[in-house]
Amino acid sequence: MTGGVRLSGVPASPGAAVGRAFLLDSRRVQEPREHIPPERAAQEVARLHDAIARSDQQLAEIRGKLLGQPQEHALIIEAHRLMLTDPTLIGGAEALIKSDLVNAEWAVRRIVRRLRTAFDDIDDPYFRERQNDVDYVGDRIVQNLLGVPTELTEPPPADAVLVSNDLSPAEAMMLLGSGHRIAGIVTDLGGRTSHTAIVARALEVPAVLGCERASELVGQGDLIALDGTAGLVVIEPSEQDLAEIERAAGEYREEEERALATKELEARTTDGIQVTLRANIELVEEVPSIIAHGADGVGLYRTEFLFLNRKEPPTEEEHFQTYRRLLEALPGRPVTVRTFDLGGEKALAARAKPEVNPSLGLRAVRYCLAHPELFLPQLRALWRASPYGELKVMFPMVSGVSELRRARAYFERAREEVVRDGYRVAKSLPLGIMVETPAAVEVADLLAKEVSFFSVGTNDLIQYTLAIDRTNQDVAYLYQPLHPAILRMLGRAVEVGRQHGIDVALCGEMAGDPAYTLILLALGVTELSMVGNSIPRVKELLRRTSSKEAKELFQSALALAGNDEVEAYVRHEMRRRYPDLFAQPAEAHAG
Amino acid sequence: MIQRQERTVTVVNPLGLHARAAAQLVKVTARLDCDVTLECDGQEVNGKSIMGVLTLAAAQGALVKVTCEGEGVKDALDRIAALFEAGFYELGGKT
Repeated sequence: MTGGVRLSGVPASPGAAVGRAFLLDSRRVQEPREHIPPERAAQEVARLHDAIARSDQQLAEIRGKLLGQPQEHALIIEAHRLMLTDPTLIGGAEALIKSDLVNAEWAVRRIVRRLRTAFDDIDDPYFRERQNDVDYVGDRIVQNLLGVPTELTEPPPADAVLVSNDLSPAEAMMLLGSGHRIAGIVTDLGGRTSHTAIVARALEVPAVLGCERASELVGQGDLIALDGTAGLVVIEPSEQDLAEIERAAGEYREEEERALATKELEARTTDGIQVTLRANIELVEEVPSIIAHGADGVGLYRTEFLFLNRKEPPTEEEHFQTYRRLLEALPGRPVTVRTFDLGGEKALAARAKPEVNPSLGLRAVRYCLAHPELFLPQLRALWRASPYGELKVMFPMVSGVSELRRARAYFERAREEVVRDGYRVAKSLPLGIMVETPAAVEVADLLAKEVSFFSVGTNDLIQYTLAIDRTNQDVAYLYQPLHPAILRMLGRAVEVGRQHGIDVALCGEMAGDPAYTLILLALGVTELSMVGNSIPRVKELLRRTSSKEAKELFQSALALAGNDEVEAYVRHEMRRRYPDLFAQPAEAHAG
Repeated sequence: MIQRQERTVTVVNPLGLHARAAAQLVKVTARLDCDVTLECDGQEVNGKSIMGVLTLAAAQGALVKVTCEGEGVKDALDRIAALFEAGFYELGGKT
């Protein structure tokens, strides 16, 4: 079969689309190099100043569009503007034009190369990386000299597939702020948690990221077909490729339509067991989408996004504005905010200290306790936001009562402080913990006495319990959500919650995989929080099953002592019983 | 009246002379009538150049010798030193 060039990448935002490539060449523009006669020097200097003025104007416009976005983006742009007018850059380029009689493009390139080498020998990676800012500014001046647009300052046409090496935070935020939907996004870099991925999901634009050389292989205006659910990109697709992508698009649309139709339906089994379905999100902009998918509020609002791609932590005010907007977007619906789970591999770039074993290191609540200067502003902001909706707060990765008490002391101190500062706050806020270490499960009864809810984070619980790093290819196969050890732990957490009269929710990836829905139902889990677009399928399954069926499946599965068999058996049974819900390509990942 | 004065200041803010701090510094120095030179660890840069200031890679605790040459150097040095002492306002906030 002949077809277009097929590339695979990270499936970062679901759905499929076909469109013409809007290629954004963010890589270096090749500048013309010319020697000029002396009488042209003044003209070249004037061109240089003109290009700098235009560059500055463009940055000022981008800056203007960032109002309301985290201050960090604005600061980067301010720094770039100062670089544009840096005397060593302008003066250096002018001098080269006059002394070496070269055109302005060449002069800028040469001076930028000289300026960037000054960063080469710096040990501190933060300062060394400022080289990229110097390049960025040089590129912009050269682009303006040449009159080539290379940065996205307004959204591409609605039927275009945006193809780029990468999108800067400013570009991603511009797309988000415009609320403008395009056909699709393909980038060479980036993963599921990058700015671009999160923005694409919020806008419901299919995206395939980390697609290595896509921007080199794609030509301006090429026909591009992409499937953001499967992570597939086809350049200049054949009839056959198009049929395949259109089929995927059709399936996704159908699923979406079904989703919208189930929005108002209750997640209740045929024998009347009610399960609450909530969404895991990281951006306020995702709210309309999760509501459309039938989420009853937010079960996990990850706050790490506030810290992403920046060197300095967010201010209390930024935290507050974010939480307030979130709560106001979800009136009358519970929103559980998790305090930041940083550390490990997710620390602020400037603070990251390499650890031999990051998942066992200074992360999550431990990191919070070690950095009250980051933790307190967040807690104060949460209290300040408390009157604006149904807020709940939880701490990540608590491993014992003392840790909980220390974190709680900060929580209470934050309340006292904001009250003293004259802010209006709620009388109390439900406080919970993520149960994601085996230790927390072991002492769940002790923890339950001090919190108002548990949220079981299965991703980490599975890793820590089975002692495997799921990113390590050699052991990833052991990542088994249905390992009997995990099932026992989940059962225990639910049981302790029931005994102590506190809510137990489950918010790992396991919650959104319909292959596990019956098992979780049998375990007595009554609240699941998942990626918004997993809700409809899980809901449909719940509406078609009963607690009796769930218990029987669970019993037969547990009768198999071999952990490999349990997973295989359950998947097989689910596919056999609900074939329409487990169509091949829509099958969720195993973990 | 052309004068020349120097003063040694300490970087007190935790993040050092990073982009935000460098930007604040350059916004002040760019408007001064005198020339400004910064020296840190034997490296000398133009104090009106943000790129120059960044290449100092000055961390918290670093000593920076500021030299002003031209008009109004005393006032210029006072303003620059005040910025350093205030940690470029990075330490602001109540907590």
